[in-house]
Amino acid sequence: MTSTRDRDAAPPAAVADLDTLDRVAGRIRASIEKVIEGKPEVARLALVVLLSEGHLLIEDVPGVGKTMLSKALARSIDCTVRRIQFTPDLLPSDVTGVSVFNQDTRQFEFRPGGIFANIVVGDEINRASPKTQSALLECMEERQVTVDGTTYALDTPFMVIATQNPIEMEGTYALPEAQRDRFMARVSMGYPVESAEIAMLDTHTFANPLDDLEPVADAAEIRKLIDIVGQVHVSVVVQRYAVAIATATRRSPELMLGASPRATLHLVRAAKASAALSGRDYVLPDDVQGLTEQVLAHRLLTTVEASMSGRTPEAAVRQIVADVPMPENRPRTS
Amino acid sequence: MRPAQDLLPATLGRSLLAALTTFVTLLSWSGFAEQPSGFLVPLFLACLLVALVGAVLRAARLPVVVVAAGQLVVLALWLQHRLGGHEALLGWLPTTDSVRAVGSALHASGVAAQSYPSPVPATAPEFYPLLVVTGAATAVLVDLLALGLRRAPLSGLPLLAAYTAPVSILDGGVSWVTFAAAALCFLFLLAADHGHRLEHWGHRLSPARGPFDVSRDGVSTGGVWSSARKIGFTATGLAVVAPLLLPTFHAHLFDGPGTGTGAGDGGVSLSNPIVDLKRDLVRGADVPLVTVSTDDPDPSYLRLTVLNSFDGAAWRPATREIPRSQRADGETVTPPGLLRGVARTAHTATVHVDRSFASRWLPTPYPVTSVDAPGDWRYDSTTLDFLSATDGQTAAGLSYRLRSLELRPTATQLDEAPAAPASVFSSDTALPRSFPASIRRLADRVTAGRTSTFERAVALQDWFRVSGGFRYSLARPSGTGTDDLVGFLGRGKDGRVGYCEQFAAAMAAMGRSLGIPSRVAVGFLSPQRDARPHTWTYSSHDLHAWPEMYFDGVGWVRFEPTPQTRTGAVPAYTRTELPQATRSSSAGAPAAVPSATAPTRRPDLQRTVGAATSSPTDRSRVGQLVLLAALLVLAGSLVPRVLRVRRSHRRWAAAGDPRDWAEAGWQELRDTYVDLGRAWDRRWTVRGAARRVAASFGDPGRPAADTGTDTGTRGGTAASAPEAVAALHRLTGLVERARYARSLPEDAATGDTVRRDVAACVAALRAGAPRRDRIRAWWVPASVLRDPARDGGRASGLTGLRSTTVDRAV
Repeated sequence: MTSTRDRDAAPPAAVADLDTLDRVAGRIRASIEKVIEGKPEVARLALVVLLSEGHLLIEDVPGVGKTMLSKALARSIDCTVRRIQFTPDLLPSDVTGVSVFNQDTRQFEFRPGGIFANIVVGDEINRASPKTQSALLECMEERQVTVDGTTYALDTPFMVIATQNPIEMEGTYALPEAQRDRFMARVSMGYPVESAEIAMLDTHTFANPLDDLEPVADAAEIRKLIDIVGQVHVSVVVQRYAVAIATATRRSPELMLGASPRATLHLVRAAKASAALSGRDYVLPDDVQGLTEQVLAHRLLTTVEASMSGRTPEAAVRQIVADVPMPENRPRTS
Repeated sequence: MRPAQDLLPATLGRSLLAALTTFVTLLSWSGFAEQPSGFLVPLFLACLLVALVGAVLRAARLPVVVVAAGQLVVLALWLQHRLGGHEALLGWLPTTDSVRAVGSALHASGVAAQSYPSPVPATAPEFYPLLVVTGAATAVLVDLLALGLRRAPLSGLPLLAAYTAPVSILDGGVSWVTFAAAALCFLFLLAADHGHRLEHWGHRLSPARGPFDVSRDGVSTGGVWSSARKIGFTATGLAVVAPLLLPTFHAHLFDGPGTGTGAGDGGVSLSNPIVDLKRDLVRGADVPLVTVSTDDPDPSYLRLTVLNSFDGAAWRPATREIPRSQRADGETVTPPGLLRGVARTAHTATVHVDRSFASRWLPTPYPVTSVDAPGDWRYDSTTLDFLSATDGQTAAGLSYRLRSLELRPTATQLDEAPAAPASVFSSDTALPRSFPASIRRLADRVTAGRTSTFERAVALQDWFRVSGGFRYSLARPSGTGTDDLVGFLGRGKDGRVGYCEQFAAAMAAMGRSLGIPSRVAVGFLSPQRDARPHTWTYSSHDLHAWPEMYFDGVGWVRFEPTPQTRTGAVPAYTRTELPQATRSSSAGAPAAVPSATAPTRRPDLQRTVGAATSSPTDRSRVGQLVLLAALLVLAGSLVPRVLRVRRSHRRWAAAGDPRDWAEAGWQELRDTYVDLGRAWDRRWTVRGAARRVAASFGDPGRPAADTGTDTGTRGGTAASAPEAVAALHRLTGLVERARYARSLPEDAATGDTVRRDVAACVAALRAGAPRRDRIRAWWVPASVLRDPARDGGRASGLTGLRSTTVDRAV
C-alpha cells in the first residue's frame, strides 16, 4: 500500500515514519508470534492498544495463553515490566506502593508498587478485591499514583495488560462497568486451531519459549511510534461515522447501557493506530469497523429481554455496524 | 417454489391488468375512425391474447424472451388468420399466399391511412389493420416491460406514446374520462407490481389470501412511487415537447364528440389554409362561417390569406412584415400597385365570424382600405392579409367593420400595364431551382403567340377552364408541390383532374415561369344571400383558392382557372374585350353570364362530397400518426439510456481535479454495478464495495479468500480479470485517499487514468454479468430510475447482518 501513501503531508506522519512504524511493529509481532501461534489478530490488537496508549483486557478461560501473550509483548520490548498476580488478599498498596519510614534517614521513603513499570501485567485481575481493582484502575486512567499526598507520575509508555477469567468462574469479582470502560479493548484468545496446537506441543514441551525472547524494541522507540500514530489524520467523515456508531449503541433497544464518549475516543484512537499499522496516515471507516467489537462490546450491557433471548453485546455491536450508513461525503471546503 | 398451476391465477391477474391498461389507453384512438369498433374489437381480442399467452408462459417459468416471442408468434398467427385466413391452410396455418395477403392488407391500410383525414370514414375498413398491429405491438411491449422485466413504471412510456398520438392529432384531444381510466389502470398496475415484488421477497404476515393491499399489509411503497414520479415527469415532458417539435401536426377540423354526425355544430379551424382547405371542403356538413352585412349588392370573393412563396414542395405564406403600426384599427390601408385611373366603388361592410371558425386570418375582401377589428390584428402591406399578432387569438366569434374597394379595371388597362417594379418582380416570380422544365415548356406552349403579360395570363386561365381538358374533382390528394403539379398538368391516369388548390397553384406557378408576378390566394367563393337584407353568408363549402397576378397600376388581380362547374363566371376583366376568352368561356359554360348568375355550387358540392367519402382523397395525417407513435415508442424506450449517458457525461465533465475524478469514477462504477441488477448498499465502505465489485468480475459464485489485512480488493476472481482487479485497486486507493486523507496531491491521478481504470472495471463487470442483465443495463439502466446514492437504507437488518458475515468470511 505504499503507493497510496500521502507523500506531501508536512507535519503529519511522513512516509519514513510509517516505514519505521511498520518495521518496528513487524518485529514485535513476529516476536509475539513465536510464543502465541496462530493468533495474529490478537497480537495485532495488542499492538494497536499499545500504540494508542490504551489498556488491554484479555478475557478467556484458563490455559489458552492469556498470560503468555502479555508476557510475550512485555518481553519483546526492552522496557520495565512488572507482573502483579491478583489474589483476594492483595492490598491496594501492593499495587501503588507504600511509604516506609527509613530509620537511617529518619524520613519516609516511597517504595513503588507493581504499577511502576512501562508494561504492567495484571494477571487474573478479577480475583482481587474491588478495592484493589479500583486502585489499579485509577492509576490506569490518571497515569499517576498519589500516596500520602505525594503524586508520582508513571512512565510512558504505560500499558496495563489485564487478564481475567469469565465471570462465571468461581472466586472472582466481576469488574464493574465503570472500570471496564477504562480498558480500551477487550479480546478473547479463543482456542488455537488444530495445527497451531500441534505446533505448540512441539515447541513448548521441553522449553519455555518465553526464555528465548529477546527485546526487539525499546521504550524510546515505542514513544516515537506513539507520536507517529498521533499524527494520523482522521477526517470529519470518519469522526461522524464513529459518533454515529456510538450513538446507535445508546439508542439500540437491545442495550441497556450504550457506549460512553470515552469509548468513542478510544475507538478513534485505536483506529488511528490500526491505520498506521496498515501503512496509512489516514483513517478509513474500515479501520473503525474492524475495531468496533473489541473496543465497544465489553462496555455495553444488554437489556434483560435481549440477554434472555441469547443476544450478546457483541452481536448487538455487529448489528449496529451493519446498519449504520456511511456518512455522506460533504462537498469540499477547499 | 410453487408449482405452475398455483402460479397461474396470480400471473393471469397481473397480465389481464396490464392488457386492460393497454386497451383502455388505446380507447383514446377511437377518434381516428368514424366507426371505431371496427378496430377496437380486434384490439380488445389482441390484448386479451397477449395477456393469456403471457400468463400461461410465465406460469411455466419460461424466460422473458421466450414469453415475448410466444406472444408475438400467437399474435402473428391470429393476425394472419384475420387478414389472410382465406389463403391459409385450414384457416390458420400460414402459406406463402396468406403471408402475401397480410402484406397487401397492411399495404392497403397504409395507403388508406395516407389518404383519409381523421376520422377515417366507415366506408374504408381497410384502414383498420394498421391500428390493430400497432396497438397489439403496444400491448406486447407493455406486457414485456411491466411483467417480463418488472419495470412497471417504465411501461408508462409506450402507453404514453399511444396516448399522445390522438392528443396531438385530433383537435380537442381525448375525453378526460379515457385519460382518467387509463391513468387509474396504470396506477393499479404499479401497485400490483409492487405487491408482487413483496410477495416474492417473503411471506405476508396477514393470513388473508385476498388481493394485495398496501394499507393492510403495512408496507412502504415509497420506492415505487418515487420511480413512478420520475417516469411521470419524463413522460409528461415528452408529451408536452413532442407536439411542439412537430409543427405540421396542428389540429384541424373536427366534429364534436359525436364524430361524423355532421350536425353543423362542429368547428372549423384554419391555421395552414391550403392544407386545411381540402379537409373542410370534404366535410359532410356545410357550416356557415362568415356573415357579411354590406352595401355591396353583389359581394364577391372573400380573402383570408395569400400564399406567396413557392419552394417546390408547396405554396406557403411567406414571412409577414407586420410592424406594430400596421394594425387593423381603422387606419387607411393602401392597396399595393393601385393607381387612380382604375374605376372603383367603395363599400362598407360589417363582418361577423362564426364562433366555430377559428382562423388566424381575418376574412376580408380584396382590396380593403381599412379594417377596424378588436384584438391585435396586423397586416402585411404587400399581401394585405390580416394576421393574428397574438398567440391563440383567432377570428372565432369576432365582429368587425371594414371598407373595401370594388375595382373594375378594363382589359386594356391590364393589357397596357407596364412591367412590375423590381421589388414585386423579384419576390413574386421566384421559382425553386428544381422547377421542372416541362412545366416551363408547357406554359410557353399554352401562351404561344400572346404578346402582352395580360394576354398570357388570360390564355393560361382559358387553357385551364376550357381548352386544357381539365375536370374538377375533389378526388385528388392534396398537394401543391412540383411533383403534384407535374402529375396534375400531365396526361397520365390522374392528370388534369383536381380542385381549386391544384388549379390555383398550377396557374400561379406557370405564371411565375412566364415572368408574371403570381401568388395563390385562399378564401371564400362568392357568398349566398341570407334571409336578412344586405346580408350574405360564406360557408365551409365556399372555401376556395385562386391565383392573383400583378399588373402595375391596378395591383394584384384575381384570376379563376378552376372550372366553371365549381366557380361560375370568370372575372369580368378577363372576359370583356378579349374575344377568344369570351368565346371559350361561352363554349364551355353556357351559363357564364357575368355577375347575374349565382354560382352553381350546390350540385357541384354534392357530387364532390360524395366522391370524397367513397374514395381515398386526402393525404391526411393518419398515416403519419403511426409513424409518430412508432417514433415516440422508440424515443420513449431510449429515454433511460439517454439519461444515463448524459448523467455519466456530466459527471466527467464537471470533474476538475483528482478528488473529483475519483468521485466521478466511483459513482460511475457504482451506477454500472446497479445497472447490472445488483444492489449497492450505502452502508458499504469503499473497500467493502470494491470487494463485492471484484467478486462480480468473473464468476460471482467463487469469491477468492482475502486473507490480507489491508488489501480489500484482493478478493474476487483476480485470475479471470487481473487487469480489472488492478484497476479497481488503484481506483479504490484513490477514492479512499480523496475521501479520508488529509490531502491529495495534484499528480495523484489524471482524468484519463481514472477513466481508463473505470473503463476496465466496467468492462470486467459487464463480462461477469449474464447476457440478460447486460441488455437490461443498456436499455433500462436501474441507476437512472433509482438513485443508488440514496439506496441502502431499505435493506433489512437480516441482509445487513448477512453482508457483514460475508465481509468477515472474505
